[in-house]
Amino acid sequence: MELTELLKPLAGTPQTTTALVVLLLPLLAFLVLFGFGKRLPRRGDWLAIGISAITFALSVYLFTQTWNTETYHTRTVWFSLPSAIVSDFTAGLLLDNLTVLMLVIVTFISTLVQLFSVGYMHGDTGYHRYFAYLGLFTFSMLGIVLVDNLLLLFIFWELVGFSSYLLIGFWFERPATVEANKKAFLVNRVGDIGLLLGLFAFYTYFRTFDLETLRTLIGSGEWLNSSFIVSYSLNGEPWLLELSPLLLTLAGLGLFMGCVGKSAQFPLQIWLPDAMQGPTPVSSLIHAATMVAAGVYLLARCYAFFTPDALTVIAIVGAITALLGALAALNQFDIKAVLAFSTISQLGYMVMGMGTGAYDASLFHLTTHAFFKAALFLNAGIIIHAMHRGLHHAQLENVDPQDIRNMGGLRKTMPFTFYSYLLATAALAGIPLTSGFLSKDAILSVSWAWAQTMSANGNLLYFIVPVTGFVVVVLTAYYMTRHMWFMFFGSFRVPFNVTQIRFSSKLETERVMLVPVILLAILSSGIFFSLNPLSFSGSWVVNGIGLENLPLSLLAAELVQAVAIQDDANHLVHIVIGVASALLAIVGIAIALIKYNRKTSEQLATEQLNSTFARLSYNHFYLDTFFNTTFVKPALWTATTLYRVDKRIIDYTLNYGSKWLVVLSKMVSWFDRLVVDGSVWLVGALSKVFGMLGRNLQNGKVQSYYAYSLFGFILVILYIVLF
Amino acid sequence: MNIPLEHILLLSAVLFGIGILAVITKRHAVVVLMGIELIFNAANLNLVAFSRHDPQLLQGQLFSLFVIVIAAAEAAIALAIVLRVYQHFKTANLSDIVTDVNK
Repeated sequence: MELTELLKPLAGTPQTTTALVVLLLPLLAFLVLFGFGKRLPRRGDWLAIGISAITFALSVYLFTQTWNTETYHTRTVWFSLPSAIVSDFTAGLLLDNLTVLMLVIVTFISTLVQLFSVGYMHGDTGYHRYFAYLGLFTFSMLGIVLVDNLLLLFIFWELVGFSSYLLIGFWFERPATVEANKKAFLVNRVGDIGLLLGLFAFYTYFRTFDLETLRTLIGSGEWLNSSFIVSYSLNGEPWLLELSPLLLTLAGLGLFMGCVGKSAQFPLQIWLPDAMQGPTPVSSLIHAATMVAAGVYLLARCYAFFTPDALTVIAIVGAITALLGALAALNQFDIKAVLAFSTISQLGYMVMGMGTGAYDASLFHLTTHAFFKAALFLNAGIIIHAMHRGLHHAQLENVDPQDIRNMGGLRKTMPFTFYSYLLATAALAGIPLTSGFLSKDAILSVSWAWAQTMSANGNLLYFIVPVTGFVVVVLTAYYMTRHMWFMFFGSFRVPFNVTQIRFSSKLETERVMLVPVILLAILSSGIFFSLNPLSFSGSWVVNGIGLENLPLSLLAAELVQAVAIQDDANHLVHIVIGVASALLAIVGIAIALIKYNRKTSEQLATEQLNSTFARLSYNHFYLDTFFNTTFVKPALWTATTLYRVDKRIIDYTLNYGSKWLVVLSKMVSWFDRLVVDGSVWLVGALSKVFGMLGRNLQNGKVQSYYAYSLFGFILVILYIVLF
Repeated sequence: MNIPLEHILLLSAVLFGIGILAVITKRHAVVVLMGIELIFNAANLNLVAFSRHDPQLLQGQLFSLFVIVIAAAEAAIALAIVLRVYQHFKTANLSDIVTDVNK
């Protein structure tokens, strides 16, 4: 296979041109708003939202063009290096089912979030800056979605990191915010190192970053004597690659490291709860459609590059993340912290699905999660906003408006919020008829089939992964019910009239904030994703991005197909799993209801963390502390020590060294002057002396000549006489 | 009266020394010539003194006669030169006769 042939430029189509426009419009919004936002009427929010709406409309158009019909791919040579063993670096856009699905989700959520922000961020000093950053963020995420090669993807990947840094740290005058965005940025960098190493590995093996080409190359290889053999030619020169599976696994896990950072997987999930310091709509965007989804999207894009071993690691990491996130969410009191840990848990679900071969189910869950999690976060935003308003009215400035212990009974005051929250919560908990039920069910089924396939040799440990999934179902239902109970049931627990948190006597919040929330909540119902609301197999998402549409490569194809066959054979199990997960969700809800129904308002308002486990879960298993003591502190200590060494030893040495050098040079110069110059001078002086002597001998005086000759004569005589 | 040879040799040496001293130190050409005469005479004295022990008698005396004759001739020539030098340099002072090479 000739690599240059595979990488040849592909002409653009109207679809790819449109995609380019979709990509560049948010960048334009960013540039305009960042540059002139202050001077625009209404400080430019109409521009940002308008551009978002246009990109959403164009995305929908692209969706209709591409979904289940055709794949559009355009590619140009970006730059080439003058070397025969390096192929041209290409850049291009790739539109397939996965891309357009993500495109629609990202632009849709982004538009709604911006619409919501008009109300939420109203009156903020950085209003135009906020919309500008959102534009940049959307641009970066669309870049990740659209590009066709890993190098460009990495560039946009880093841009997402940077723009999330800007957004999380939007209120940069608060120290906690700065801490949080720094943490998010740095923790992501840790993952990115792995991603970069993965990129390097794949480039070293296959000499291209182009995803399609990589897929073709890997697909053309074969397993021989447990090593993976690929041959291709580059500029006419043949290359034969013989790779051990370990190398491929490690390279794949390198790519996965990027996902671990961005999608907040264990053990790098610590940045996500802190990232709640950003404005709530930003949290919504980051958690639902964009940043954290990027990791899962990367896994989907690079699915062909993972070996079965790598997939197993991915599944296990996902299961651990799902469990830890759910456990940490159990005892949180901050309204956004519950949702943040819930996001970690759900992302763990998706990654676990990816690892178990539930490629389509994971992406399905990504899609449904985007809607209901965005709804939850925007709802939380409404509540925080309302609480702020109420506390401001009542002049209670030291009460935390985000603490769910301070709420209660909001369902009467904020009915729209309540029902949309309820719908989204039901979806998150996986109650039948919601979208979350469908996608969660899909992941659980496939992971069960995966465990069956993997444990064919008798190792039942693989069942831990799906069982973890089931446990997380209970936990999710429990913590979301607790969350809802604290906020919406009982009576209002802060001492002022609850109606003061309303926007006006008729409305609980601004219309511009209510509309996106209700829209998202409605989209959390299962009917929009599958006509049969009890079975995921009929879902258009699953069918569109299903395995049959996935150009599977050789690496894990056998495993994934075996899992798919096993899954198809599990007719009865499907029903059992569906019923079981619904029952487990109900059990979770019931436990929470039983526990909290008995408690009085005062008990709820002053609920403390009593057990060790509660403290452990509230503090996220002290992972932060652990990282602090094992990595951050030693690193800081090393840095301080190095600084001291530098200051005290190196600088000292240099300072005193230079002094000594001056002394030495003085000595050398002294030596030079006295000894070297002196000896030269001495030679001159001696010859001068001898010259003088010789000259003086010949002074022209007869008498002195006479005296010399006499002297000489006497010497001669003495010599003769004495010797 | 028999004078021991050592006394004569000693006198001769003293004469020679005075002569040398005159030749080297004196500035005036004529005095230098006088020093030369003294040296000659020291030699003559030795010749005469040693001739006493000469088996062929008068050999030493004859030698000294020759020396006196040569010394007379030499003195005449030398004086003539000194006169010429005096005419040329307007001095008979040896240290003044020296021509400076740089001049």
